[in-house]
Amino acid sequence: MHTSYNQLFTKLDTSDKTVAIVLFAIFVAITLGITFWASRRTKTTAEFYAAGRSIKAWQNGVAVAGDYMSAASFLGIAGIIAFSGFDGFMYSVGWLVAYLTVLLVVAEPLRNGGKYTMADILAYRLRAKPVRAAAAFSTLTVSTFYMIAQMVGAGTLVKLLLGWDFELAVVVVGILMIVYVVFGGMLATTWVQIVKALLLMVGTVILSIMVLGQFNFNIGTFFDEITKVRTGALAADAKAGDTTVVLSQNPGAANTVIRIGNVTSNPQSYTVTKVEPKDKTFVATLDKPLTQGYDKNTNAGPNKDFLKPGLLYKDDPKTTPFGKLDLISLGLALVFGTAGLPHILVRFYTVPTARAARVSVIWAMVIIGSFYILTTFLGFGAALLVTGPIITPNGGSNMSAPLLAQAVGGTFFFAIISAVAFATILAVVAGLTITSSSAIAHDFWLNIVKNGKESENEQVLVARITAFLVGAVSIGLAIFLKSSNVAYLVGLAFAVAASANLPVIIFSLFWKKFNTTGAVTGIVVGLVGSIFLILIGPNGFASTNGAANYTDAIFKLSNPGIISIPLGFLGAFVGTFFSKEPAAEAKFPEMYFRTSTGVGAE
Amino acid sequence: MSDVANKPGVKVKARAVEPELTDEQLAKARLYEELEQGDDFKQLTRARRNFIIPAMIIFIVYYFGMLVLINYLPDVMDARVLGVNLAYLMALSQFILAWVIAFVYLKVSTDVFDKLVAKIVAKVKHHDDQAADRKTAKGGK
Repeated sequence: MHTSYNQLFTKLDTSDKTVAIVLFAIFVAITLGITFWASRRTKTTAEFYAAGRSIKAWQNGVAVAGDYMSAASFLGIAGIIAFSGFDGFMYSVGWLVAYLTVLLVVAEPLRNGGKYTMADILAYRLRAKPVRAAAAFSTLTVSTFYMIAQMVGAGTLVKLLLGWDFELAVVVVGILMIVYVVFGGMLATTWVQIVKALLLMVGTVILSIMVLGQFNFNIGTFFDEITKVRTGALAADAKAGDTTVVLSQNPGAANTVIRIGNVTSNPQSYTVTKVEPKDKTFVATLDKPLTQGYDKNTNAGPNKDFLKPGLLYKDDPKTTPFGKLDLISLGLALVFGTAGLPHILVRFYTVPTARAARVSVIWAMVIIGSFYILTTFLGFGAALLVTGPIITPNGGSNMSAPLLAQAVGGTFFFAIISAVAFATILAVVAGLTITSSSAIAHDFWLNIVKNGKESENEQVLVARITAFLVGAVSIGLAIFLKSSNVAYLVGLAFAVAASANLPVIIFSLFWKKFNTTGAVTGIVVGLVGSIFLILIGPNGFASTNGAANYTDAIFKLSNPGIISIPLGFLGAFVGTFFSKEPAAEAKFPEMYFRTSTGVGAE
Repeated sequence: MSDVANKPGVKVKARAVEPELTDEQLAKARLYEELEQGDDFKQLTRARRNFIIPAMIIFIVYYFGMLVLINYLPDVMDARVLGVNLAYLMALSQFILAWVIAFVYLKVSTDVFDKLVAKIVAKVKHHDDQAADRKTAKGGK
């Protein structure tokens, strides 16, 4: 039924644009209503930073999911699978199993031992000023990379969707997140994340069902087709009886068998007898005349098995000499990075008890896991129903999911899914804003500058002001860095979180001798190490179009985790032996008792 | 502070550093160390460790095992099973395993850890109450 892809376009026509704007306006109206409601319940610091610890376990679970399923998950993973097949699904798997580290190691002790920020858990028994400064710096670094990735994603999406300027889109997103956080604090942020998580899940389930519908709801056919993805498209209309076709991609050597026709229109096989390049396209002579006519943009090309592992992470001396090692390194950053993401960790302060924190992780795992399994349909669906050569000129791999929505449900559904993607981004940036603002206001301003002495009212005021500043700076940075690669920035955030944050959190919770020097050296070595390796790596040498450059890179892995995570642990370990801190050791039993039992927890 | 520690012949551990701590700090440390010597607390720590360490090892080995298999035995992993391939089935099984570990943890922590915690907390509270009673009793006289 969707044999024609001529209507694929990057901007919506007026009526669908209206649909997208109306849907988005409804989301904004609802979230502003939530913010108004929350603002009347946000007076104290505990209310501003931690929603008064009043969030129920299931609510926090949904909010964690809403905080976590970012543009990188929805737009990014769908794109990677659509272009690189099975290997992209490794992101989905890694990002879910990562929650076991959160569940088993971090969530409960953190809830019992801390108050508002990641640094609280370190400052419990270490010298507050140096560890708060280091942890606040690392929190800001991770959150900023993450934030820029989201805002650049939002800007690009809205520009493509509505034709707005990139800058205008970023400013709109920025203002909304500032309003949510400044007025509604953590309570508003939480509910925005809950609403978004529900919207995203409903959108993803409907999209997945519609994708399966294209295969008559036969999962077998769907997976069978994934092993036979056409790798190109017709670059010009073809009539029945033609013996040559114009292909968007080089089909390769003569005698290649190509299939022409979209998945749903009974694709036919032909053998190519001759190929001639012509203006970036390829004119292929076929062994027999076409039995029917095809529109431009119909899938056509040799089959490629997208279910086969190794399309993206392979050892190739010319391009990616250590591709296989890169996959392991990526896995490390995904599995250990999540438990070091400050904006996820602070969510556990919003529930009343460690038990509620535990239950909320399980809720989050059920939702996030279901979503990531559905990326099978989003990613492979886009590979089959839209195909890379059509996605590339229509906004690039990040547009795979919205373009898939258009292919299966028309422009109306495209508008809906795009509005969902925009809501997704808004909820995540709100979470990042409040996390950054608490790192500045609570760790830096209150505990370092003011020595912990400031009235409640002033603290909340400072928190609101810093939230505003964080938002304003983020808008500026996103506009300044608008050409940066979204997936690269998120990868960077995970690598820094795993290398700089996780080692010191684990050591401070479970290693009695761990001290301030160790915490500071651990954070600094992990932070500097991971950023340095990325700068001298393939992404640091990326060409202007954002493609990783393996030839010139000094460090040949695009994921530094395999080196930088052990470095972070080593930095924290070795640093510990450079000084003695009896006070920190003496306070360990108290902290351990509290993190284990919750006695004395805030 | 490192003066004492750096002197040759002085044992760095324990004794040598203790004088730097105030009496209050030491008393608190001793109090909590004592609490942690209680049977229930020891049992809690042991039970947690016995669950968490194996669970972490299982999921880490299984996850990175999959990545290694994908890397070095791609053809085996591409073998057709149940209409898909081994690699995709193994990826799906990662979700299942993660959920299973999570739910088993929820069950064990509810049935075992939380009960031990409740016992420990009740004891601490009992102590505190007694101390409070003694105080009020003294004040009343």
